[in-house]
Amino acid sequence: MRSPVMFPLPPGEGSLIRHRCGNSSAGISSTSAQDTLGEGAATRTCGDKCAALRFDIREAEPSPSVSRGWREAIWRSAHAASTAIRVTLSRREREQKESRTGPLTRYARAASLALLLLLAVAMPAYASEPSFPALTGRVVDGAGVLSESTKSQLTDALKKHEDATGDQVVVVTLDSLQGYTIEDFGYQLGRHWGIGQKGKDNGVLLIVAPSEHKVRIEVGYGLEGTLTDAASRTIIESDILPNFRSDNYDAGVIAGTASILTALGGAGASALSNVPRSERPIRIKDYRSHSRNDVSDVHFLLVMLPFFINIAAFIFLVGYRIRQIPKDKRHPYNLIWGGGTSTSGGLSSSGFSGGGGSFGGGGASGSW
Amino acid sequence: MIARRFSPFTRIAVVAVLLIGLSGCGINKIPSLDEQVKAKWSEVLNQYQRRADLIPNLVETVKGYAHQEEKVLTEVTAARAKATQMQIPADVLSNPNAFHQFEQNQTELGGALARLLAVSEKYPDLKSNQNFLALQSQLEGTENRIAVARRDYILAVQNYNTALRTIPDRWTAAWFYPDLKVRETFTISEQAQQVPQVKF
Repeated sequence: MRSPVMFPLPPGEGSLIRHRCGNSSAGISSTSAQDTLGEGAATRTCGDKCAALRFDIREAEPSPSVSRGWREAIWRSAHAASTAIRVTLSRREREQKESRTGPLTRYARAASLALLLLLAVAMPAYASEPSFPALTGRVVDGAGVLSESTKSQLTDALKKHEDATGDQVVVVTLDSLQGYTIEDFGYQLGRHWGIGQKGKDNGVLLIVAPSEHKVRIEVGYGLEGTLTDAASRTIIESDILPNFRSDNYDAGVIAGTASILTALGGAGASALSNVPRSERPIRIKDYRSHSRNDVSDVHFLLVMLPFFINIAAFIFLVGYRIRQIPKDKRHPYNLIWGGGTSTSGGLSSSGFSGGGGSFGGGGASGSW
Repeated sequence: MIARRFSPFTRIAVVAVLLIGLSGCGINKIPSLDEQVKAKWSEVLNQYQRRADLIPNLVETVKGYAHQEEKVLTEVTAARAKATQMQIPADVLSNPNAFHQFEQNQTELGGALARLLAVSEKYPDLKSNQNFLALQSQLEGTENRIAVARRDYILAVQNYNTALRTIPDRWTAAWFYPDLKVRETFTISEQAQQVPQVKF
């Protein structure tokens, strides 16, 4: 008798799955709440199947160096897959009793085990990352601290600067740093958006996190020589922070952006110089910090959803097409390409998108 | 005849499976992951070198205002010498001893630098010196760049090592690239986990 294997489940899932394997009459006893197909606590015989399942799940367990975020994700997927296998098996076994379709059952088992393996292999692609806001324009006011006139003036000036020099400068205010430091968040956000031209890496981000009282100028690789760390720090200390300390975000962001554009030596700074420095008193919102667990749950679904949708869509499409094409014309070429209506046109753009630039941690930060 | 025995669907399915299998088995993937690891490692070395280049200037500036902090200044100079004079063997990425020696040296230098910047806080004249402020912000920026470069290197090694240790890529690696080894990655040493002591 082999010792029973206990799977620690991610927190928040009340159910407990216990798999027990013996040598001759091995059985899976399930007390999972999800197993709705089973009649009560289903006990089924299994032989090598159970051993294989154990093997797979052991394989799926990551090495200790793996970060906690996707260790949890792997457990979730292993859990989901094993539930799926048990559900499939129970259905198949009932069908087998009715119609004796032996080989089908074996295929189903093989397919679900293959899926589990695939999931375990595909998991390293999922690394823990903050969730980034959408790039809606040159000014992304995620925290909602900038006035409309400030936003439009900044957008005009930044556009003018890009037209003249090709440098992409983006101002972003963040609702929350999601537990990351602003340095850590900043370069990842810049890379995620791809600010700056590809190959030139001439992007700059002015990041403001009002709830954490942090500000950062993140400079792309290509501009590190022009907008140096020391220059960024001077801009933050002398133009931005004094305004932020008096809760005047509009003035601080405008003064900071003007200095950044001046340092980069392009047009655009002049468009910001005659702006009244204090436009309205800023009310500081009641910021709530997100817990990172919530974010990672949503993340996991978001990461896996397209994967499943793709598979389902492909199966559906192929099946649909096979039925659509007359039997004598069922050539593989027709299967994928023939007779279909092609969809064209991408997502509608707001007129601004990152050029694929990258960031390496240059710039400076400040806090108030 | 084959054409009679298998329908076009069966044949295209077999070809598709073979194609997917070939591209999925990592015959190109493993060398490109290896090159990525090397590129990221160069970036790490580059940023450590940048830090080392900034130190003599910083030491000179601090000396002008706080020459009595001789102990800290000597420490930084010694740590820098140790870090830059280390002969890095060619196989450092797959040689745990050399890799950890390198990391140890750089951690010591980082610790000594942090202590130097901490004692600088005691000297108001030094703190308002423009040269010192510029150097300080460059050092901060470089430390941040080192962190990013290390992170990128760790991710690249993770991808590479995962490919080398999981099927089907490990079979490809064993068959076509038997000389490729699992790469070393950074660990946080106990010394780095300790917050530098600031005494006034």
